[in-house]
Amino acid sequence: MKVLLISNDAGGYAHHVEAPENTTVKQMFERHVGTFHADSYLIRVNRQPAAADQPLRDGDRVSFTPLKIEGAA
Amino acid sequence: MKNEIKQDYRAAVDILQSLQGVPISKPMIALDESFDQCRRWRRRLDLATARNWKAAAKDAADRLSGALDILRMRSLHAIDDLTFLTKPRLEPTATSVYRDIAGLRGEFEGVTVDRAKQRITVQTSSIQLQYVELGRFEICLNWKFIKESSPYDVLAVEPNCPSSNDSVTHPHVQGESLCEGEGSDAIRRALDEGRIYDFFCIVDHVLRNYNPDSAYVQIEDWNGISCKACGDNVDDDDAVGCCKCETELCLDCSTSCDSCVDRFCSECISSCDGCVDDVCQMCLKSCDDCGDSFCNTCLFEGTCDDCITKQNEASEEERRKTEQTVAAVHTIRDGKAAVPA
Repeated sequence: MKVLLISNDAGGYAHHVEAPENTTVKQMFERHVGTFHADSYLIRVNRQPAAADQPLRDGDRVSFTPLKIEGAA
Repeated sequence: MKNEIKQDYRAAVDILQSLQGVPISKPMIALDESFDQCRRWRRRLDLATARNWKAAAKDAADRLSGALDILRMRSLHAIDDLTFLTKPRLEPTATSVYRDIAGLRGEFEGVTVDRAKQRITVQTSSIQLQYVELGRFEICLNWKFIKESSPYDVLAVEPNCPSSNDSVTHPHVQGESLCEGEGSDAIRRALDEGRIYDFFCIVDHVLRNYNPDSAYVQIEDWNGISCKACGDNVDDDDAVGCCKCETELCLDCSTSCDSCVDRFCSECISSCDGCVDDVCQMCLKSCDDCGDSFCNTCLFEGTCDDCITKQNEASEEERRKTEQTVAAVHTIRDGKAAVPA
């Protein structure tokens, strides 16, 4: 299946990735972002809150937005 | 509800149109300008050198050097721009933008779409940083300018500004501009790719964080009073107002008048010309004789010690002269001294 993966870390990117069927949100995160810390990210699937063990479906849009993004002056 | 869907979809189409069109590569235009500038100064340098105009040649060489420096800097920007352009980009569609707007309505409480003003406004929930309540903020995206460098404003709904700067509404917001810091690239990319939903979420997260190393005003200085002399922030209870001009100061920057004990700023406190004590301008009096300023203790019936001493000395001198005159008269009268013819 193909999933639109969006990571809003650092430079931010959005691209389509291939993933095995029934890949969960957590597995997707660990494969593409790093060690899973649900508390440190706003996780959305199709712009809706999602649980870590939620399986993804073909065409889903999954986004990871860090909660800690520091501004400057 | 149906109207809202229709309006959101139309706004999505408008946003998409604003995103389309030939992207203007500003670094490349700037690079072209720099090349032209360098060529111009090189021609002038060649001409001045050929004609042996030394001063003109030196001037042209200096200017060429400056132009080359700018060219070097702009080249680096152009390289960054090319790197960015060659990265794979997500192409937005009207449907994806519409879904983003619909997603925002689920994520934030207040979402307003104003097609006439070409603006989407999202209101955050209340933001508190380190126990300081900053309240809610409105993030207004002006989609007409979505390809510009800063197409959005951040406004405090009920501003709680620090006492030291009323244009700062958040440690990272001055006026209506957010200094994006770490979020800068992700925000730019989200806007370029029409990911409106991500854009608002990232800005919301920047607003919920505090970077003490780079803030317009440190959050610990938010409440309290900023000393106008040293700039330090002090608790309301520790602040002192100058008794004359009412300037707010910390205790260290205010001086107590040794006469009335009230506290004053450095402009409003003076010193007694006699004992050099700190005395406020209200407690200082002029000496009737010399006009210098003294505290009450250093004046006796309106006259300073020095003037009293001088007066005494003058009186003594007068008395001495009078005595000498009287003695001389007695001597002449008694025939003990020759009287000039």
